[in-house]
Amino acid sequence: MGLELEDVRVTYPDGDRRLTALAGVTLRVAPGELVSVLGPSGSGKSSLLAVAGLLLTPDGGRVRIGGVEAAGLRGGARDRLRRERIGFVFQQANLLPSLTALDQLLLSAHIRGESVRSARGRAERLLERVGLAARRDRRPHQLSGGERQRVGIARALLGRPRVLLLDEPTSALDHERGVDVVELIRAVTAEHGVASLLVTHDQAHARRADRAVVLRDGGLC
Amino acid sequence: MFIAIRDLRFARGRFALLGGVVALMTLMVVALTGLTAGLRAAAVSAVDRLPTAYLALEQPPDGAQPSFATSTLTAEQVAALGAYPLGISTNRLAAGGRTTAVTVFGADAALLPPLRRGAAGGLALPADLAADLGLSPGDPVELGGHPQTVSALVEPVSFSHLPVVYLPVPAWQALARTDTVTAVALAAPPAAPVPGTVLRTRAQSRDAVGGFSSEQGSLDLMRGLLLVVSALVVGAFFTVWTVQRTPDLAVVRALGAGRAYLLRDALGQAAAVLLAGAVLGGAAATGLGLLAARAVPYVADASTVAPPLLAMVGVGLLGAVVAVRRVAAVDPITALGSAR
Repeated sequence: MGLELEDVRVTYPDGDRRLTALAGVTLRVAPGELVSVLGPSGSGKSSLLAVAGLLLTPDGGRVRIGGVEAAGLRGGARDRLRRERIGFVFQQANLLPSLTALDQLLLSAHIRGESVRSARGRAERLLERVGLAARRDRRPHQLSGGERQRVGIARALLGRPRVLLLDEPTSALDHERGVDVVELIRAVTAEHGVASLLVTHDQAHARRADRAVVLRDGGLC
Repeated sequence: MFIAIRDLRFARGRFALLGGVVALMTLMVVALTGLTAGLRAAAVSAVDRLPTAYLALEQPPDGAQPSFATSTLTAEQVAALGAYPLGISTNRLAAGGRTTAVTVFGADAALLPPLRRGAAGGLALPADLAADLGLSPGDPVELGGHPQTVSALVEPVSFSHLPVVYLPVPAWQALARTDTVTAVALAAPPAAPVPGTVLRTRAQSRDAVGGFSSEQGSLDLMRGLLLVVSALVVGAFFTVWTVQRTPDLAVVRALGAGRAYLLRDALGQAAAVLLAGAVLGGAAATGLGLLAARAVPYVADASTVAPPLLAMVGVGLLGAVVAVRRVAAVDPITALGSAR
């Protein structure tokens, strides 16, 4: 009931022909499991994340998020499934510059239609869990790169997602801070029972996952 | 408006700048509206305050527009129209060593504005002019070089930017050295058309006042242009603002926000800035207008403040809608990778 991708195919137009980004990828990530995806640039990692995150509709195959089949969903229904069952952690944290660390989390609640007041306690506990209780009123430009990623992780977890998608969250960090972030991801994956898919270029980080898969030329190997 | 409110606080300088521009534009539009209304009153309030619904004027030749300045109706035409004759001329009023230009209406007592003091039947002066010249009923004045006695003070009205004084028709004809009149005021259209005359409603008669249409048209054009410029300024600001934060909006979409969520937030933000700027500008214009009304023709009341203020908010929102509709097209997939 975590993340299930079955024979997923994605192609892009490239002049007169179509370029294959994912060639029948099948991958299952169980609740509480952290799976890392390694692969060179252009191997299809971003397409895999986009399909798993319902940001891209595959040409074929099936995608199930927490047991819900996403293939037939369109527009608003996909948005709803994404906000209710998927958490994203982005490469550059992608925090909104006008929001404090606490507001970044509360925004996630507001988008889901949850009362900001009722979500506040949970958001504060999550910030405390990622070690940023004292920095909750800081804006992104007042936080370090590692702190921004920790806020991003807490934001992704606020909505109690079934699936956590992490798009190279350590690429902008030095190795030591990168290790800290991956360890945090490992810990919260287990604590929250979420199915986590970590895309990374760093083999050392990838080895810290429960399982590592390699994507090459659109296929897992 | 979760993001909108925090953006307003965070980028308060930028939004204060836009709000200031909106306030200035609103100030100009409201001030022009007050001035337009003031000039309209100065040009035609004497016509607007006539108690009759129609005016008959001389039919001009070759399809030209009728004009109070050139209209002349004979006694036969007046008799055929069967209503109140009205003579209009410009003269000098002298009293106590001071001289001022006035419009003289030769009119029956039934056509006078409400009396404030004295009795109709002689020279009736507008109360503000009388106060300015220190005159009361019974005081002697010279009108067009002829001695007259003030018999009444009436509510002030103007015609062609001059205060209007009233004389009985025979006295006006003696002053104007004519046995004709300028127009005839009627409560209803005549039973049969009277040759050589043209009938106008009271509102249509404003156009027969020299320069009225072009004066009002110029001011209306300026107000229209200001509203268009306002829409463009607001639209341009929100276009740049939306383009700047498109990567942030993509993240919000990736977090699961629908298009409607982003549109509501963006338009709410625009409405808040517009409303604040417009209210500020409207308040400043009202204050300045009340001061200006002592020196220039200016009307500062709800009718000259509320409509332009609402128009500013309306056209500003229109500009904002055009600008922020691109919010709906933000692709959440751009939040992935290193595109930011």
